[in-house]
Amino acid sequence: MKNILEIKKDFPILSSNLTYLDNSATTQKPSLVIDGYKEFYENNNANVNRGIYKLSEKATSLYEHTRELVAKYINSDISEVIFTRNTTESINLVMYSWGEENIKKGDTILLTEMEHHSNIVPWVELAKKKEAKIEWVKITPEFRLDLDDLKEKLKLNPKLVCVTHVSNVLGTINPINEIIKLAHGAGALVLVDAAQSASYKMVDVKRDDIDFCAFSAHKMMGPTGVGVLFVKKDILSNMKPFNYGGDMIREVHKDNITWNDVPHKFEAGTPNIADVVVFAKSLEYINNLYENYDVETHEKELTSHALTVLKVIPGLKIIGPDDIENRKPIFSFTIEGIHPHDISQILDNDNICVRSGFHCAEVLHDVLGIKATTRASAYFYNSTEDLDKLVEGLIKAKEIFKR
Amino acid sequence: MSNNIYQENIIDHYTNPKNFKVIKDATYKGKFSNLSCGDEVEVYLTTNSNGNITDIGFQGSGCALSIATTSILSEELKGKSIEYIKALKYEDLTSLIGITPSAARSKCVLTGLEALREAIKK
Repeated sequence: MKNILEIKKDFPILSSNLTYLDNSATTQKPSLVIDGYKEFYENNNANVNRGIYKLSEKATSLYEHTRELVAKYINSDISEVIFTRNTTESINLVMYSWGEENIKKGDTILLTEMEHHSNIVPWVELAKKKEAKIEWVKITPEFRLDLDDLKEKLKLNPKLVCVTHVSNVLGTINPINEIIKLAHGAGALVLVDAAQSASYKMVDVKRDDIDFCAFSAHKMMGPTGVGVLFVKKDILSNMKPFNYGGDMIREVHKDNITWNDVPHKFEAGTPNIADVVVFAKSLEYINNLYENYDVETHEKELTSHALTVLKVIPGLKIIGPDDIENRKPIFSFTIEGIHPHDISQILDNDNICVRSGFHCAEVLHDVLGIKATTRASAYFYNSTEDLDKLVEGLIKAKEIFKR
Repeated sequence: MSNNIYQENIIDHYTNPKNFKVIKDATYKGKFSNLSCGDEVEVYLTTNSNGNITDIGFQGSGCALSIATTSILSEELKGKSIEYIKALKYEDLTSLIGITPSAARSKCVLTGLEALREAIKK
């Protein structure tokens, strides 16, 4: 096994005096990914799916190669992988193409209190339009999903259960295998928001029997502007198109239009070719990390280190599970007497990047009765020294506000 | 003007804000919530027959910048007119507090003034 601390040099932006701890928002990119753009535009640029000429065939095969890699990465069939702009658009696609047809008046959609806005707002809007009901699965005082409450709410026979795989605020890993078994037993389909979990190679759609799954390339050291939607084949084949236009059709006549095969039926217009092609590089990079480095030990070390050193700060409260099991290195916290915006600003003076606010999870903050939190989220290229710098910065903040 | 926003006067006004009180029979009352960060400030103004501010109070929670700016502004406003509030701009606030925050923090600086604008709108 190679030493994971050496990978930091693969990331040009991290060579400066930067402590980047906002990985739940987006990750940094290795040179391999950055160089992918030059390679593509200098050698392989053409539109896909139409040219008979070699260059277009090359571009098409590179675009489809990424789809193959994604399918392998999440253990799905190639035709079940749809490229979108981001996780939010993937979820909206499900809402428009599946929800509009299948959610009827009086139906129930089950969400959890720890969902990101992207897995709340589309469903609340659909429910309003269809006169359907939204129910919320509670969280426990230990910041875990309350499975007893889930069982209780499943008695309402919801059509759809929307659950995040890993909470972007709490760091909690939800037991989606168990959740999906329970939901399927109650006749519901399940949409998994994998925005935070895909970067940890946690998604296996066959093992967990996932119906819908959404995530973004940019949280996986890949480009912005590429999202993935997985939909189980038999569900996908019955879904109506999302956008209408080029590429998504088979035949267009004045009196008759037929749709293209899946997944192309859901990718109207010229797609985001360059970004999708470059996304392959980040998947290769992650696969290499999992093959040649002990990433899991490193991740556990970051988690246990953070939980230990953060507690040194008086008045600091971690909003998330206290144990290192079934959680990711995402740490939201409050410090008594210091507003999260002030904490981030003081940390920024030392080039430490963290996030403050609701992290697109206002419902969760409401439920917890917290106005806002500061969030530090680590990834593979972070070290325990980065977390020590964070703590030093927090001590400075405490000193500034000590009076 | 300084770029270091955490100067002594800001911290002082944050930890011990001036006029941090409710005025029950206030002439004007207004509230502003900054939805992106959960900050919330409510202001109270009492005016005399000439329309000049005789008393001012505020309540709420927020970051150092929003609370300190509102506190400093509350001291500035005593004896001033409602027209004076109407004419206040962002730049007036930054020169009053003596610092130039980054663009991302302009909303924090404006929280108190937004509450005042809400109060005198009615």
